Amino acid sequence: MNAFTVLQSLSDIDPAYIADAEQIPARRFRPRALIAACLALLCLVAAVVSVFTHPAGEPPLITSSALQKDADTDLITVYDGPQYLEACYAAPRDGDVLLEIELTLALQQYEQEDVRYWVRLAIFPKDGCLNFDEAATDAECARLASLGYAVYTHKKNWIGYWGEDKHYTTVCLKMSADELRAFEAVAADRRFGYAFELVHTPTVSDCTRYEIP
Amino acid sequence: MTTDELLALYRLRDEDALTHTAALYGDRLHRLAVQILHNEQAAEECVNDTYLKAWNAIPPAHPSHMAAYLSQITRRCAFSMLEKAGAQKRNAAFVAITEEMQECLPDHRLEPPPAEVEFKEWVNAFLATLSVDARRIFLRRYWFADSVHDIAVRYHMTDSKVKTSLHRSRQALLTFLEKEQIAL
Repeated sequence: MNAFTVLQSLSDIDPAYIADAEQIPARRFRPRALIAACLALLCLVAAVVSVFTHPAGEPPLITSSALQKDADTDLITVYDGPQYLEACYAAPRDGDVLLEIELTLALQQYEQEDVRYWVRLAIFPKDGCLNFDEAATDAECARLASLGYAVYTHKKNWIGYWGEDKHYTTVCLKMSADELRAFEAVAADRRFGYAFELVHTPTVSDCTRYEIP
Repeated sequence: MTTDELLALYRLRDEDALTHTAALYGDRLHRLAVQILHNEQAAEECVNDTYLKAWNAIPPAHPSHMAAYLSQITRRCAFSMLEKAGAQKRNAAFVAITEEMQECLPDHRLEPPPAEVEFKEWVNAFLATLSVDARRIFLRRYWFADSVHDIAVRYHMTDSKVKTSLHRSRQALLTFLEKEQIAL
């Protein structure tokens, strides 16, 4: 028996199989495809809404380009600048304000937009870095908060090599471009130098909003 | 008109049964014959032959699937025509289907063919082993002689998925034949 005979003999199969194969099937409901489509739509809507219709009083927050999105916050966008931009800076002198390169570029890029920047502030007194001194850092945070800045802190304690207590307070702020540019004139304490940089860690949710005692 | 009403006309030997049969099933039977024969005139002859055979067979025959029953007659008639025409006159599309089927047959062509009843039994048994989707695709290709693309459109899938399903079904058929020690 050859293939032709086999095909010919197929005529005698159970008519139920033929009737079944003759039915025009309805397009199948595919739950996975539907779920994927819904998720894609939700993501699209969320992206569009977050970019174009951010809530009043809560403009988009620009963070470092090293991060695409901060899932813990309502960050709208990130600075899309050169990656791994690193530089070595001299500590700013008393009363000076240093904006690191990435932040400067981001300020240029978003000049026409209503955004805020998530920045880390390092404070430099004459003899080192203020952030290692918890009490002094808290005092400076209180002063900045009293001036109306949105100040956040992230505290870290550890034991040093000689068994001494170590402390470092990371100070972050949500700042507008105007606040950053005017900081030196408006808020800088002449005893300190200030260095601002875009960061993505710690995130907003990692930090505690500094409340004036 | 329902199948039961149509069968009632056949039982009453009312010639309107043929008119209604042509109206209800004529198009699909013609399409099936064309798919196999690729010849309009021969297909028309085949369909008319189907009506005559159905008229002669019912009663006593009482098909539960009228469309399938008539399609079986049309298909037998079309294959009979192909057989008479000889291998040289078969169209390219049908030759392709035959070659595909040849792939999965064990090389025992000198053995005597199985009895018709036995063949019918094992082919039904084989079809029962396939999944519903695979069986439908297999039958659309090797029973209705649909092209791969037409099957893909019918079942909302890609051509490659249809080809894969057909390949797996042919492999399953070969395995089935060898396991059952069926010599073709």
